Amino acid sequence: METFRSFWSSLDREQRERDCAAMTADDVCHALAADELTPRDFLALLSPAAAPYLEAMAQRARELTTRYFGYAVNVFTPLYISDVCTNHCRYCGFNVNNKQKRTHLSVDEAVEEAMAIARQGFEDILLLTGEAPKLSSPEYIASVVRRIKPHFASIGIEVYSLSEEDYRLMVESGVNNMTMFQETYNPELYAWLHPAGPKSNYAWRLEAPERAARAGMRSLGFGALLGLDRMEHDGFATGMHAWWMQHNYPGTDIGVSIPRICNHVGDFAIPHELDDRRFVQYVCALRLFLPRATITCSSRESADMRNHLVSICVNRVSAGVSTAVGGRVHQTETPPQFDITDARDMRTMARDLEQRGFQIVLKDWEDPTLTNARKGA
Amino acid sequence: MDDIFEIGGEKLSSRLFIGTGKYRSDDLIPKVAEASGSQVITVAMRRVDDGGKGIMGHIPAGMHLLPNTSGARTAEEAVRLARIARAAGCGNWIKIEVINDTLRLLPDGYGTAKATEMLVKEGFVVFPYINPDLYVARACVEAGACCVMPLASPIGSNRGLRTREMIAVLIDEMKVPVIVDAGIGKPSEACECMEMGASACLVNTGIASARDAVLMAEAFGKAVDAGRKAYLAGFGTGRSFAEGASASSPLTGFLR
Amino acid sequence: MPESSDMLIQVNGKEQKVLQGTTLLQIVQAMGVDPARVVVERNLEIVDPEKLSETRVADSDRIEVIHFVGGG
Repeated sequence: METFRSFWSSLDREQRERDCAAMTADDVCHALAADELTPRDFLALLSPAAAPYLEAMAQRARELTTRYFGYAVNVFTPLYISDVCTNHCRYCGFNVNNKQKRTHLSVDEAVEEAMAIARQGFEDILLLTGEAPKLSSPEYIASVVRRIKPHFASIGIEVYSLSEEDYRLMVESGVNNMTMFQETYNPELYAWLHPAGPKSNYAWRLEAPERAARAGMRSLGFGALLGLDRMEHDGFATGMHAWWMQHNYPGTDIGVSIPRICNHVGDFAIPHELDDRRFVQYVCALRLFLPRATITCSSRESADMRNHLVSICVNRVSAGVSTAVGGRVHQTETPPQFDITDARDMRTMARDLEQRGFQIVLKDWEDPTLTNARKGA
Repeated sequence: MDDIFEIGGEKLSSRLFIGTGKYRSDDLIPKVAEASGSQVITVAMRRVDDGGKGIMGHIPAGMHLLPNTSGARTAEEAVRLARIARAAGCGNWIKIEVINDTLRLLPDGYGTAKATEMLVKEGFVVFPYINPDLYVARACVEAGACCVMPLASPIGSNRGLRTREMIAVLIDEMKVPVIVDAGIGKPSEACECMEMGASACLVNTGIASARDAVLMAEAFGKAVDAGRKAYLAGFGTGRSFAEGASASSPLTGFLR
Repeated sequence: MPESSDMLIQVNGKEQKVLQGTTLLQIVQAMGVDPARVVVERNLEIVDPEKLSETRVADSDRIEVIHFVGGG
């Protein structure tokens, strides 16, 4: 069976750059009018030729988002349970070379944090760890998940790449969502950005979503870290990865995230920094290319940007965020993975979005086979 | 929910107008009227023939009569028929039909607009039957028509909503109600008209030619009601899109 | 009955001989229809329904008797 890795490597990078540069207004208009976009249409919307059509793209994105998601916005919250990490990612605050204090929550502590989150009313939680497979082992993650499962409708993980067997363990313990940011789809750049540690294996990470899908993971999230490579490469690749998965794993719900690289501990010069207009263009293009995909925007973006993106096409946001380990019960001294720019709690988020005509949805879905396992609300 | 259709000084709860032509038996008409829930019924005018009983004995009491000027080939003939209709003592509503192509039976927009102008001056409430042409519709409205009645497809054809895009234009542009008339053969087509935002539908052949006209009348009544409710509910999204369209409230205006 | 008392009129496009003094009501009734359900035009003038019984036709009158029929 073809993998996304073989599919992606069959596409020529230089040819794509030329195609992107040669896109015309006609190509953009064709993409804007298409009922279903081809990959070429998607590339047209990412190209400089689409820049003057940003408002039209946004209007079309709104139309499609309303068609498929209405005026409902899913809200989740992340919980970092460990920032111990053996990786060397040059852009990340958890980089092993950043000699900061690290925190690893025990299962009990992690459950306490999660319970505090549940008491705030959240139903959708995302568990994050650094990559320290001995300390933050699959069994450790599974233990936390089993304990908190009765208190959440949806549990997601955003952790290091697992084997298919370990993904199955996650699914069996109650995880229904797996987010895996490839960071960059450029193998050379990837190698440079991840010089050592387990994450340096590009292929292992790239194929993680396929392993998770085969293990029965209900929904998958994709994303490139925006700013590392050019839009026609990483932006295009993110959409193509999601698109390819939709076509090859039609039973799996596919979503995309739109993380823009931002400041963190340590220094890293952003190679292809994305300004707001190009960023919004990318998000709109994703919506047009993937009308049914959930688009998640984290608190990396400002409250103002997130408010506007919800009005355009983002249909899932975080709230009550801490990007440091714990943060709800255990106040740690460790610095966050990155600085959030939108510190709104759930109530504030709900109020702000309501003012813009949207309703927050805390529980979008719950595994019906586990419903009975939940304790009374 | 109170959804009252105000037209010609009347307040209606049903948005289906029915006709009285082409029935197997005119005895069906009261049953059709009842099953459809309609409150407006159209009639035509003809010379009395020997033994001809006319239609009035079959019109349920309380229905609003909408006489038409079918048979008129000019504006002047339409005016004459309208006056006769009013003299019959059934109110001052008149549906103007001016048709001088007996093969195609398509309405003459110029004659219709002219008759509208003359009859509005005489105090009639004018319902002009037109091709869904923006300019004819405007002329009729400027002359004082209470609505416009664009055809969905050629009269009596049961071919459905073939003029969809043009009717959509009228719905967008007209400040008076748009009542879709002629050609609607199926309840789904009437429903579609209503979903688009038409104010009402007039159905005659679609009901009269059904195997069971009474049952079909009920189906049309429900379809019109369903389409209206869907329109009021507001669809999740529109489907029209034009490149480079400038929105009244831009989504990207916050970007520098 | 002297020949001169006959008049020639048109009713709904057909020539008809009637006696002097014939009223519009009589003409309508002769057609077998309910006078309350018709409109009568005399030489393109609509006749007040109240006055059908007192309106006598004149020679060469063109009378139209019109009623509602089925239509859409």
